[in-house]
Amino acid sequence: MIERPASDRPAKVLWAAMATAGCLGIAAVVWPVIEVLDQPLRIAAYIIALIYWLKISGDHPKGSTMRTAWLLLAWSSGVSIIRHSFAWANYFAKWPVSIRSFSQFPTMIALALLIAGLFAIWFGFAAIGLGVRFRRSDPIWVAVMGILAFVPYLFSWRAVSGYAVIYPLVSLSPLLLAVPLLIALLLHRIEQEMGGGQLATSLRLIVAFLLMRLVALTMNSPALASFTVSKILVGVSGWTSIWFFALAAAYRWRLTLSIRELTYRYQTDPEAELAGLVLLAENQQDVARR
Amino acid sequence: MEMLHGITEQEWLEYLDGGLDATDAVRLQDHANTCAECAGTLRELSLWREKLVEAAALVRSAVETLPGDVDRLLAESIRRIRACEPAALRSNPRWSFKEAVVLLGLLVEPFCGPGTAGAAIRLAVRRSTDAQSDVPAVWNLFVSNMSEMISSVCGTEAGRLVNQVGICLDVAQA
Repeated sequence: MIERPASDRPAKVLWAAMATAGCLGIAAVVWPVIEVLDQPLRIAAYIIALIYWLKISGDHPKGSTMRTAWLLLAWSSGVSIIRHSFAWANYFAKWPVSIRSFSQFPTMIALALLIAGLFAIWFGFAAIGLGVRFRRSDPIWVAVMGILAFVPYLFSWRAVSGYAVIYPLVSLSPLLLAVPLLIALLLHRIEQEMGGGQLATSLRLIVAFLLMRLVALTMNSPALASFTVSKILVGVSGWTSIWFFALAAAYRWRLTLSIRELTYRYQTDPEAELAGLVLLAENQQDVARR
Repeated sequence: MEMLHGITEQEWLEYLDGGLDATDAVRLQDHANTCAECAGTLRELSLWREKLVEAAALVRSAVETLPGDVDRLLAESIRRIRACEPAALRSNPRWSFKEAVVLLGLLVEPFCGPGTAGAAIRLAVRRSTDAQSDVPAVWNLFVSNMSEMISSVCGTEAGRLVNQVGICLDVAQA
């Protein structure tokens, strides 16, 4: 049946890639020529995420909520690859705004798929009673996120297009940004209720991805974009956010590998594993007594 | 590691496993023959060891079982438990329901966290409990439900692990 122990290496490589992307994002503020690497790095991160999400979805039975969730995230990654490929081609071709604005289509589709995927994750956890209790501070967070999500909207008409159909898409953008943030709050609550574990780490990274995207978009709005601090923040958050998404996928896949490893250990030395569980239980009871 | 009369639990365990040299084994045996307290410790450790070996043998056979055979295993386990006389159940060393639940919870905690394990256990208990009783009528039904809960959030492999380990724990029915 198995196999190799779950390795930290893929996650380490992704953390290193994210750090490199962050440094390049800051460097691009000073040397704009570096921006040529922005889209290829985003594409690479989304390809990695796509592969992981597809593998993870295979670990859930057909028709299950979580399988749907991971597949939606995979499709969102796939559409994002198209979107960033389009943006990369534009970097060299310098298309007019009327053509460039067509990138709104994959942007909206990717966002819609992301929202559906995140909602499905919440739905999957809600089925076992997690993520359904709210705190008093939650309305404040919702308000803050709403305001932050609509800051870019107020300045988003810069994406002018010669095609009337693009305008509603542009105006939908903040809404599609705000909704994932609200779901991010739900995921954060789930992750807190989980109290730890590998799956919670993956959820935390998805939340980080959504927050970093928001920071990048807010700081990139015309009202703020001219400040040097904003440029640096955009550089760091914009270049690194997608790597959080890839890391979330990598950590979730690592969970599956860890379970395989444990199954293998039970197969080869069940006495030791059961003895370990008994010792853990005894320690827990001792702690509870204290 | 607890020590009583200069002998640690580890030494008693090694004695039970036959891991001590002849001199030490004779020394421990002689001491157990003359000391009621240590003889009790030895009996207790021996009982734990038997339970572990028994459960481990079941785990080994279950992990080699194809998923399609799980239902058959479940049915056999239920039949075996029902066939036992209450007296036999009492005299046969088994995990209590609470102990087994703790073990299953600890099994999944590193992956899905104590909160998820707790939520899955609560829901599985609720689903496995009949109207007349506060405790699950059949342990295997609980395991099946717990496996389903864990599988729904952590994936099929996690659910299968819970099922395999769960049905192998010889649990005394309430």
